[in-house]
Amino acid sequence: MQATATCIRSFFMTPISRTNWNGWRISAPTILKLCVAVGGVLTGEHGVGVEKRDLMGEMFKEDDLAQQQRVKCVFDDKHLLNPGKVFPVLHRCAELDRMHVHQGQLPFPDIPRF
Amino acid sequence: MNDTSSVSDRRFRPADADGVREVVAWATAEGEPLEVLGTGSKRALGRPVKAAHILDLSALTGVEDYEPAELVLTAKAATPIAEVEALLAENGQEFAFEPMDYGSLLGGESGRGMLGVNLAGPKRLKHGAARDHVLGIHAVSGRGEAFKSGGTVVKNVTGYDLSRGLAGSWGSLAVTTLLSLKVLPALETEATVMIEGLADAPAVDALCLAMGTSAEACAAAHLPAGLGASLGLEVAATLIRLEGFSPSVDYRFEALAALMKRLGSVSHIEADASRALWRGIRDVRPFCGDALPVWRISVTPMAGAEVVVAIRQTCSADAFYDCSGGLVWLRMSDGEPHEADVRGAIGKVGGGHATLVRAEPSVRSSVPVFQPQDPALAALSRRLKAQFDPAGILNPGRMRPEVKWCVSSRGNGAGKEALAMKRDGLFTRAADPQQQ
Repeated sequence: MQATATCIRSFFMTPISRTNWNGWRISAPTILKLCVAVGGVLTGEHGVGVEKRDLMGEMFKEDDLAQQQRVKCVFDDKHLLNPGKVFPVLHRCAELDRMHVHQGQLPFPDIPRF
Repeated sequence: MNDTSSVSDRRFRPADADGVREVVAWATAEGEPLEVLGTGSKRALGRPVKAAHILDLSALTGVEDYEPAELVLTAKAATPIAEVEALLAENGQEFAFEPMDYGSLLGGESGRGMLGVNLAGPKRLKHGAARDHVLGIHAVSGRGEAFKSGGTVVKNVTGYDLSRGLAGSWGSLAVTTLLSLKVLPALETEATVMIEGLADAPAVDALCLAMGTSAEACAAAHLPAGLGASLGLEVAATLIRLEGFSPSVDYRFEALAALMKRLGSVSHIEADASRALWRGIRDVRPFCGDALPVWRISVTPMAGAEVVVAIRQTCSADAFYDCSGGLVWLRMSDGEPHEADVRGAIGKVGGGHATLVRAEPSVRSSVPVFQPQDPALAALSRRLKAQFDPAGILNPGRMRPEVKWCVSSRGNGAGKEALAMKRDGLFTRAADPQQQ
């Protein structure tokens, strides 16, 4: 975990057991959210993957994440490579496009929309 | 934001990032292309932009945040680089990548933007370019959406690093409004080893030899006889730059001088003169002051002299070498760009890139300014452009002739892209019914 230029490493001193694994699961997001709140980032070495995926919203807004997902669409528009990693909400590439509104007019306004 | 009711040529000068978003959102909705400028210092570089309106970012200036102890600086996109460097110098710091100033080469004023062009200097050998020092950005995509990427910390691998991806995109993907950069302490001193009188090929060999030693050179260049006059050099000069603490620089200088003295007469250029000399090389001073076409050629360092020999078989040109021979600045003597000869020579020596840095606008619109991409890479570039700027409104034509294949922002442009791929020969004959 990273906070400003400092690297914070969290580890638990007791042997791995169900009890302290749960403790880690509960405390890690709290530590990470604090890191982001003071200007740090979620991860500095190993990437987001699955474990920190659901915290991406702490650091990025919807538009920030959509733009990153569009870059994924450039290389992997069918989401064949590691689907479900990095991005908390899956989108199909076409969903990331916005409707084109020209001079305040929707295209084909007579077609019913749902 | 100015009144946008008329569609005749307009110059928008938004005061803040939100204003930039408004202008781009309007341009996207109306399909009106924009030329994105800071002060236009690098406007003469790249293909002439085909846009009716100008998005002038010159009001986005000022250092927003600078924490010398954290080695991070955050500035608005059009802050003059010289102003930022002066602030850094007051605090004993610098941009280690030494961004070059195209102002004197292109006959304009000193520059502002550095990320879109991915600026670097002679120290690129050791420290990389702007791409390697950007930590985070705020930008507006061609969809008229503001987004951020990265952060203000050095160690950051959260999500995709769009900041680095925008380096070298020439404002054709998004308009950067704010950027955070890594800064480093300025080194105590520097010195340059100068070997006199070498011809091009042995000089490049000497530079590569020096780079392979433990002397830890941060820059290596060769100026043939006659080209160094504007930098105060009368003979051919092979230059190797050392920086650091003074005992270390002295020790490394002695070690390198002992190695190089068998090649020619070796002399010592002390700190201030060395800084001035490398600043001249950084800004391509030997080729400033005329209007002849200038190419910037990147090849493997050992092929530097070879590529110039190959070009000179068919045309006459002056050349000097930076980055240990891997960067060749080439000025064509007869005023013609000789694109086929230059790119053909690069192919002969094993490949590389050539950018036509200086030429008349009519030449830049007819000759490919940037190295043409192979079909697969070109298809990826087009898809990237379609995802960032589906309406094709940001700097259209700057990097390559635009075809209006991504005019619509409905869908992800897949059908129109297929047409463009077909044009580039990406589809095989069997997959293309029209050719059967």
